[in-house]
Amino acid sequence: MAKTRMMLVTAVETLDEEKVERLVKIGLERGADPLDIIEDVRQGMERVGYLYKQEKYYIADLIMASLIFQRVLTIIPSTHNKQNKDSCLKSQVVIGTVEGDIHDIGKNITVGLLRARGVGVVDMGVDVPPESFIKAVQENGAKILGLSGLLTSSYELMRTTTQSLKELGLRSDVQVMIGGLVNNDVREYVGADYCATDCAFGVKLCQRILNIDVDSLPPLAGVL
Amino acid sequence: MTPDELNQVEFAPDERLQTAISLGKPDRIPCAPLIESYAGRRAGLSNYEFMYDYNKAEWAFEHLHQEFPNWDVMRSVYFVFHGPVQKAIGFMKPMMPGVDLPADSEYQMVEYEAITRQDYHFILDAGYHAFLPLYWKRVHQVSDEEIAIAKALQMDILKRQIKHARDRGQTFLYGGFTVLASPLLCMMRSLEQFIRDMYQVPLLLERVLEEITNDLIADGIASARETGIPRLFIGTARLTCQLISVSLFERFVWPFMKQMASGLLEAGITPIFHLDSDWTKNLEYFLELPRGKVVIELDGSTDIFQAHQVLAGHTCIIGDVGAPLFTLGTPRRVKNYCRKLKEELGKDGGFILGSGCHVPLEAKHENIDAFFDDQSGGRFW
Repeated sequence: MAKTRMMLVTAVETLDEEKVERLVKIGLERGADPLDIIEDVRQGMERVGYLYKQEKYYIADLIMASLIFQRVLTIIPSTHNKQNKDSCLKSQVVIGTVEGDIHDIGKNITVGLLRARGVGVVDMGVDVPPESFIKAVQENGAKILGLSGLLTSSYELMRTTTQSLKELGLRSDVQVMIGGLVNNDVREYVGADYCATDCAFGVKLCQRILNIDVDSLPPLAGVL
Repeated sequence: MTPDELNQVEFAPDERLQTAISLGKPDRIPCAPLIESYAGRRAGLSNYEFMYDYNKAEWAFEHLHQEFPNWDVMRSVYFVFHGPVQKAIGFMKPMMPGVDLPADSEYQMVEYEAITRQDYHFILDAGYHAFLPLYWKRVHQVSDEEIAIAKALQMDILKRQIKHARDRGQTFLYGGFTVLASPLLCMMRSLEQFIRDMYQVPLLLERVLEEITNDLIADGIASARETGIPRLFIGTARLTCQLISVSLFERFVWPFMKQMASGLLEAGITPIFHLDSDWTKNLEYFLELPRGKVVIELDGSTDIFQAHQVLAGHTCIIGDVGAPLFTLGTPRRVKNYCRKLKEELGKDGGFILGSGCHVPLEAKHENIDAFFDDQSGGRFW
């Protein structure tokens, strides 16, 4: 069993989705605890993160790892899946594309990467009005609000959302991060704390804010 | 003629453009912002009116040119994104102002898995040209007749855009439009599925990319020949080393860029690669293409000054006043940035002043004024 578990970690690390799927199914058939399987997959994800940090992997590799993780969650029996989600989804991050904008590639990748790292995320989707973001932050006690947009018209909506947080006395409790077609000028205009133009950087910022450092693990021996 | 007299010679717009493309130093730096919907807003049109009524759009371009007669290169892909064209033969499913979105908003694209791996096999068996109408029918729910009408309309608008530009004394940059095979499939498949394909079915993907590239080259050549403008817009979004590894780039992107460039150059057509997103790590690849024969357009994400360091004296660069600067900047900052571009990139030739991708609908009018204000008595030098 230990060998199979190690193989699963390695299969995730080497981004072999088919092998991961096969090993997960074998594990389940042999009676392995689904939560252990998820833990192994997560270990593999951590190795992927480490390789990214070492600049041996790129964002596409992170996306592929995230897709594998999502795939595994569809295979694991739903009761355990739910248990896993509940245990990790403390909803530290609320994220969405602001009202009037439907671009979601970067946002979706970021959500996938965060979830794969065990960070609880409330994905609000696209075309999200400011009041919906505020409500989600309040309901979840989120520490981070991620506002995404690829249109210049999104700057105004990002700013309105940030100002609403301030007016409601919530601003000091939440770190606001913007992503998409943004830069430091936009960050200042919006009144956000951070801006990220690539998903991996955004995820790294979230981890730093949440004091999570999963990228510091060493690689598995013999894999590199 | 004395050197001073030579300096006073005014180039015709097309001569000015071609001189810059071939890395020469024209009488002044060509001015080629990619202005579309902003022109409509400035002229008081809703974006719906602009996108769906070509006559109104052309009126808006005319209006803008009257304000800024030093705008000498008409750089537009309106013919591709015109509402009725895009709704029938667009490469992605669009959401249009006044139809799917409020009338005065920007159009947007819906990203979803519009094709499957099974379609790759169809392309290999039947060819890309056989697949494309099926794709359009699937994505846009159009008939063969509507496809034919949209294709004719696209070419008609392009020809009219060219004629109107020339009538008002501009040259027109593009003789047609295409997209590189890899980002094209990436848009059709969705980014996530395309990434999966690169890892899981690399051989199949390579064969499909080869198949499509040959047809895209043929389409591009046909368009450029029909319009008589020997330059082609080539869209290349997404797949840079900001996202994918060098090995993936060298397997699934660069060979097809090179193949596209070679095929077009052999036909006497200048490839104009529109480089969306950050290409800073990929700039050296362009040194493999012939000197003075290719143009790259930067959108503000790539470090244009580093691009100049790498490609000065080799590849003409168009760029790159970005959307955030047009939207949130001040006239002084726009002028300063344009001046920096002109001084650092333009001093030796091989540079065309442009916006980074489209001038946004939300651009401040005073920042557009500042962009066109050359501050040197009509000369950019």
